[in-house]
Amino acid sequence: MNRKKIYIQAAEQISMQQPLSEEWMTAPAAYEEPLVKAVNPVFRDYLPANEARRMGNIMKRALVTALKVLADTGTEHPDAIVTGTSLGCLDYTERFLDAMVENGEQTLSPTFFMQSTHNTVGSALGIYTKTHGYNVTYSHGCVSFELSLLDAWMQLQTGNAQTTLVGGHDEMVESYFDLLRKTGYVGQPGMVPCSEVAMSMLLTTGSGKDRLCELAGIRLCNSPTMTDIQALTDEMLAEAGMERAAVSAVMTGINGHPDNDQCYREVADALFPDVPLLRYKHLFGENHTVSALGTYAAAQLLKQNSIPTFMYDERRPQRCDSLSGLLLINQMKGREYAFTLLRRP
Amino acid sequence: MEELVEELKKAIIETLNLEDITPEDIDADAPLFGSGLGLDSIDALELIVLIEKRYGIKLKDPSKSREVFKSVNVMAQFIAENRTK
Amino acid sequence: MTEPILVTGAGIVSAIGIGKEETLASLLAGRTGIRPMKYLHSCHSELPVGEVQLSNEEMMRRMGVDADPGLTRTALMGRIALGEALEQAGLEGKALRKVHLISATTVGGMDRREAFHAQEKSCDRQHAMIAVHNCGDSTEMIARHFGEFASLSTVSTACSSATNAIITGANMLRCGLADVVVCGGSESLSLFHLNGFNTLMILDQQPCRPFDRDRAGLNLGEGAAYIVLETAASASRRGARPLCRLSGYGNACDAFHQTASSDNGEGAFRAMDEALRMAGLKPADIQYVNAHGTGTPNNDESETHALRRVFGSELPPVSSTKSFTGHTTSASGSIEAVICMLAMQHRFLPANMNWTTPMDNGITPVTYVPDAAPAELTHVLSNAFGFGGNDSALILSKCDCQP
Repeated sequence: MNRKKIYIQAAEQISMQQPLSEEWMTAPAAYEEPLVKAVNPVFRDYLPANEARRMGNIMKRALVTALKVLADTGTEHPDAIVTGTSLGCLDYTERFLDAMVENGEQTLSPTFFMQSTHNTVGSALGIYTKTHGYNVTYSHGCVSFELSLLDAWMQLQTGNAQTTLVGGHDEMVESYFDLLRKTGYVGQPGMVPCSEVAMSMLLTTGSGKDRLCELAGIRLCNSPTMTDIQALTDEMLAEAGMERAAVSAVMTGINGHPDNDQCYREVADALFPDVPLLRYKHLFGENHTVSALGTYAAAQLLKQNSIPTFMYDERRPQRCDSLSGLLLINQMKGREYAFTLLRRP
Repeated sequence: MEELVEELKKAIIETLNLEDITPEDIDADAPLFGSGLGLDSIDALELIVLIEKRYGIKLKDPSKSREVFKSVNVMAQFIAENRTK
Repeated sequence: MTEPILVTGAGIVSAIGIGKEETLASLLAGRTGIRPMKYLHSCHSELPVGEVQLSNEEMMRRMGVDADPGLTRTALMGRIALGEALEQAGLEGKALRKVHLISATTVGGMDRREAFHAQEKSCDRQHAMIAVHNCGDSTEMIARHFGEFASLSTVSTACSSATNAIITGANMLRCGLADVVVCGGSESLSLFHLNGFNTLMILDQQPCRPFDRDRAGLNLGEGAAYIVLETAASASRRGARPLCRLSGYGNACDAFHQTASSDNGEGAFRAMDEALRMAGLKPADIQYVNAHGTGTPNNDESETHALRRVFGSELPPVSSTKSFTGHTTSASGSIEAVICMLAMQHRFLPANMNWTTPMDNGITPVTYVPDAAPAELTHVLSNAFGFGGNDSALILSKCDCQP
């Protein structure tokens, strides 16, 4: 199949950094707390109160980032909407579960239940923008976003869509954070904070001056050996018509947890031992879909063709004056890996 | 009855998260659904839960809800007649 | 569609049977699986449900695994169904390294979590691991029983999840990202969604009556089903016997409401229309429609409207097999796809049970007739519509190379 070129046209975020802004590139906020909620924009500026009254934070954030991206690109109806979320409307799910157990299955709120299916966010985007096209939600832990990106890529390659709105969204509540802390996923000493994620981007097959970058490749694999990973990345580069030397930097999801960081370093050292290593979770925290924010950040770096010094992984001395290609590595439990290849158009 | 009407207005605002609305804004005779406050089917279900929780009235037939929740006054009348709490 | 997509394996477990043989027998005998609640312990035990007739312990024994408090009912059912599909397709051990698994669920491990939720605040690490079991963990728990797959994904679009998993798998084949995929879904009953649907007041206190004028809601069910899809080249290389073809599919958003379908069934219409166009078929080419047909006043009205928009006055035979299995939510798309395959293979029309009176302007679905004459089914359409208006449709067709 002849591969079409696919571009990230625009991207917006709400996170623990300033919302809907690239201020984090020059003046990033830093936090000491183990759990940091996202900084919300004034929702009222984007959503009428009557429409937003039933929506939890995750849905409002997803809508606002999506509406802004659509406005930025002058798009009324994207051809497809693909969403990645690991825990969905966690807040409402927890409230429904708590009430169900406390009230002995009586007098429960339909609003909390109807937003507890993971596709509520993606379908809200369809409902709000009155978009009838392809609409799917992926929910697979830390690679939920990459699965969405992959499906968006397929929709564009098959010609089912020419524009696709892709998002990665997850929220957090204290009680669930406590559980995650007990499992060792977050809240460990030396780790970045656990935070929240909302990121929407518009993918398109049309080239143009305003594109942030090209999505040159996206691949996922389960329990790969290092040989498998080498072969997969070689294949991805070959398909993109890229030499290894065109990968100017590698961005990983190191977060201060030794086991997590070890996975990344092994792979980065094996694949690209001599290029600068970048990190993003110290800016955006840890959460299942935070790689969506990593992808957004990488796209911004490529557009601006510069890397803020605080994004370098200090373990390597290499630095970069000009970016050509950027490889993002995301992994889950040392078993499932996702590789996203971005390139300056 | 007046007390119940005021109580109901506050409960409706709270349950349905009508952030921008105060009890004074609600006309007790105006329709709650369609026009007036413009509530929908999910709101109707929330009100069914509300009257069970607060007043012990179990409304088994959801199609009756539009009748019972026609306006705040109609709702108050229904509650006054059927409450068990 | 350019390259044919072949189905080379299928597995199913639901209230009407463990495996294809039992499922077929129930369908042919008109024996539904809607029964009083037995395995789920709810205050609302008067609600009829479609439960898989095995306890978790029985399923663990059947799979030959040790009792494990973390093993979810969704994963157990998923393993049974996936095992049957892989076996039929002749896929095991190292061969799985080239197979991509796309599963679907929404409930996942909620059955385990809600059982112990009251003790969560003071729980230990092992309990916390069970509590935070998410959709992706569910897929991983099903998969690891068999070995290591090439990749794992989880789709979650409520009641159209498994259909969308099949669509994703098909797209991966079309895009050359895979040669073999296995797709479907698994969903167990849980107090969480039983109560959730109950608050939406769309559950029938009686066995459901899809498309009947007096229908009063759905019955929840549970189960799992998977189908193996591969390219013709891959099937030939492996010597795998094709069972049928996936000739078309469609996915559209109703874009109307989070829990109700639009009056004119816009999303449903677009999904079916897209599937037909992809398959290169006219509506008249379809010999049977397995409807979404939940039995709710809203769905059946909306779906009827959408069917009429697609088929005009020439409706093919239509039935909802949710009258047999209950609404198996995230697994319904693949469970019903396997039922369609059985219907094609064994030449019968699955019945729509409990129907007596037509809706105003309603359809007359297929009613049960013992020992009915064989039905030649070349092309079959299967619908799945999820909360939020995630509407999907599949078309399964006879293989040209079938005897």
